[in-house]
Parts: sequence; C-alpha cells; structure tokens
Amino acid sequence: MKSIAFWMSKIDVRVVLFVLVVIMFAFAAGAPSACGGIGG
Amino acid sequence: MILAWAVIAGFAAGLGRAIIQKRRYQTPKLKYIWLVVIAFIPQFIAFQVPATRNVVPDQWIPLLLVGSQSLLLIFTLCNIRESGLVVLGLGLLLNLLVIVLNQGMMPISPETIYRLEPEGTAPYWVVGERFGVSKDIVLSQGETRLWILSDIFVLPFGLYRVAISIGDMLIALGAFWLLWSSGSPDITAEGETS
Repeated sequence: MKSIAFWMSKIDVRVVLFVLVVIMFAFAAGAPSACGGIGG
Repeated sequence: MILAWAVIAGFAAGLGRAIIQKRRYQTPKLKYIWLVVIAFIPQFIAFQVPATRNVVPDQWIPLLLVGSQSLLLIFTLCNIRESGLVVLGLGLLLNLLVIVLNQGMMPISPETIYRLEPEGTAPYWVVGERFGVSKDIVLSQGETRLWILSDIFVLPFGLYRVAISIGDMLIALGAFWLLWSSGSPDITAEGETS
C-alpha cells in the first residue's frame, strides 16, 4: 500500500493533462500508415 | 500506434527517473495548449472515429490536415524552448512540408503498400487517391515531391506493419525526450539548454 501511495503521489492532474497533450500532438503531427490503411 | 508507444515509453522512463531521484514528475509550462486540442479534434473525427471517418469527404482532408498541422507549428514555435519541442517541431515541419507539396496528404508509394501487405490482398487503393481512411495519398515515387520525407520506412510492429516517415521518427523521438525530460531534477534549466 505504501509503495502504491508513493507512486500515486508522483502523478497529479497536471501530469495527466500534459501526457494527453503530448499524445494529441504526436497523433496530429505524425502520419504513419498501418497495415490496412489505418491512419495514426 | 508507434507514436503512442513512444509516449508510453517516454512517460514510463521520465516517471521512473523522478521516482529514483525521489522527486515529483514535473510538467513544463506549455503555452497555448488549446491549440493542440483544436488541432487534434478534427483529425480525431476524420481519421479515428469509425462513425465519422468514412463519411468525411476526401476533398476535405488536405485542408483539414494542413490547417491542423499549421496550428501545431504555431504551438511549437511558442514553446520552442522546452526540451524535446525542437525535435518534435522538426518532425512536424518535415511532415507538413511533404504533405503540402503532395496534394495535402502524406505520400505513400505502391511499393511501400506492397511491403505493408505482402500477402497480396485485393488492392483497395488507387494511385493518385487517398489510401483508405488514412492521412496518406498513393503516389508513385516519380510523382512524389521530396519522396525521402514520405512514408518510406516499413517496420514490423506486433501483428502489424507500419509505414513511417523521417518526420514520424523525429516526432516519436521528440515525444519521448519531452516526457523523459519532465522527470529531470531541474526541468527549467534543462529546457533552457535545448
């Protein structure tokens, strides 16, 4: 439990938002093409 | 998908770094985040949501893609001092450049598509038209401007194969770097050196 609490204390809402922004940026900036023609 | 893995790996590495150093994972102070959201939403609708991606007309894709990536370029320039943003921005710029020069979509050659699907499924694509519901347009190497910047590298990725460009590689690297840097002891100092 103590180690879970320690891990959780390292993450806050700002971090979640930051990671989401990086995901959105990478998705919108990148243009890979997967087998089957699925973009992103 | 390959970009998503770069984000996951970068975040895991940065978080691990913060934990080892017994620090909080710090987020950089990015300006104008709403530009990223505005750039992302139309692409999400046009390329990802099954209910909508099949109904968005192909003629809209160039405007949507170039407009969206131009917003990202503005965001990048506003935050260029942050770690990883230079590499992310360079990847974006290379992708945007080749897209603008090739009818507003990322070129992919028939040879690359055959490498993606070597089993020889019935072709559902036509040279000169959009490749499925992706961001790509099928163009022969001879017809492609700045071919070297198009989707020319084919990588095995689990059960899939993925065609990526030099810009995609830089975006993956930049995303990893940005997330990794956020686990550093002094994020501001590191950001200023990039």
